[in-house]
Amino acid sequence: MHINLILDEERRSTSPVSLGLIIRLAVIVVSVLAIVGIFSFFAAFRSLQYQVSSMDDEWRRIEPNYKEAVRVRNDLAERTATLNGIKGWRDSRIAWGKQLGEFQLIVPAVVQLTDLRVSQTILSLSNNISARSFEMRIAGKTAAPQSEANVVQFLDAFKQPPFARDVESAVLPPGSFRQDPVSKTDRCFEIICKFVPRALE
Amino acid sequence: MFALIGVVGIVILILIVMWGILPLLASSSTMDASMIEIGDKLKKARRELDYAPAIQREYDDAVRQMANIRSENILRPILGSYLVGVSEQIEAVARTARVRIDEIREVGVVNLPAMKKSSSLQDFKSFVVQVSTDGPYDALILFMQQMEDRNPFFCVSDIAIACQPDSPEMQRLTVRMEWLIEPRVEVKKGGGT
Repeated sequence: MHINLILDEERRSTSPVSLGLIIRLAVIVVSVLAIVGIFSFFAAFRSLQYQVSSMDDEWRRIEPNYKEAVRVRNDLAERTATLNGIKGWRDSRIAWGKQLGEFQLIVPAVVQLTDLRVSQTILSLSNNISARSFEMRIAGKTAAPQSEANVVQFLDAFKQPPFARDVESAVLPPGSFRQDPVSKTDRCFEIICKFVPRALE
Repeated sequence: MFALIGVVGIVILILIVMWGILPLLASSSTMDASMIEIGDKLKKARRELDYAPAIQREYDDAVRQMANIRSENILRPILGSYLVGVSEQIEAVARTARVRIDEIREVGVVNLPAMKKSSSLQDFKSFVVQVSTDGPYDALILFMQQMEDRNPFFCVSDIAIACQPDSPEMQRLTVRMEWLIEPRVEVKKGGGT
């Protein structure tokens, strides 16, 4: 025979840890965690706020010096460009005094020069850079017997130092080597020298 | 009773999250972005300031070089005339080189050849004269050399040397000379006085 002395709902667990106790403990733990979480969040926020504010202060302190440094850098770039431009202008010139002094040394003794002209043209190189290009036209005459050899010797001198570096080409234009109309014993000639272009900037 | 306290606690927690934590979270993400931005600016600025002394030295050097060029090599007008100074100089050199100056003709102020618009030399022009002179070849060369030695920024753009039929030892030199000038600086200086 089975007799229930207590109803089912009146039954109690014999365990010392009851469900109510677990729930209470859980509520307390969750509350403590929530409070700690909220406080640490506020602390982190305050720390972030402090960091931003101190960085902002540092930026405000450093900004005028930085702006001045940038201004100096930009100004330097501008001045350097101008300086380079001026130096480019200077370096693009040919020192004609020296050049014509050296030229005198390569003219064979049997050649008499009658006319010398140098003219400048401005070329446009790649990258929008301009360059000075010089052309020298030389007219002269020499005695007929050795005239061809004399002129060839003169022409060859432009391929030797000191002219070899600066002269791009030296040619006798077709028909320029001819009988001198004034003296039948002489022949006259013309030489065109093109100098290596020099960039302006 | 305990359940009531729990419900009130949850409500308070929700209110704290909604009105306290969520706005602060939004604000902290803005602050994070701003901190990154300021951090980048500070890094850039510190790097720039590290180089600043060296750049300042380069700048001072460039200013000094430019000032030297301006005072020594850029042609200045005398009472508005460039020709006066140029003529004085050409005649002085001609006397030393023993050549006779026949004519100094002002061609004028011309733009520097084919400089592009963005060129750093936009403020500069050249003052051009054509000089005709007679003398022996050696003296003419000496004249040209001395002119070039005195003026490192002076250019000769055209030369013509021809024999003189009546005196073979004498040559006639016609030369086109160009001086670098800076007209805007002159205008500014003129305006200030």
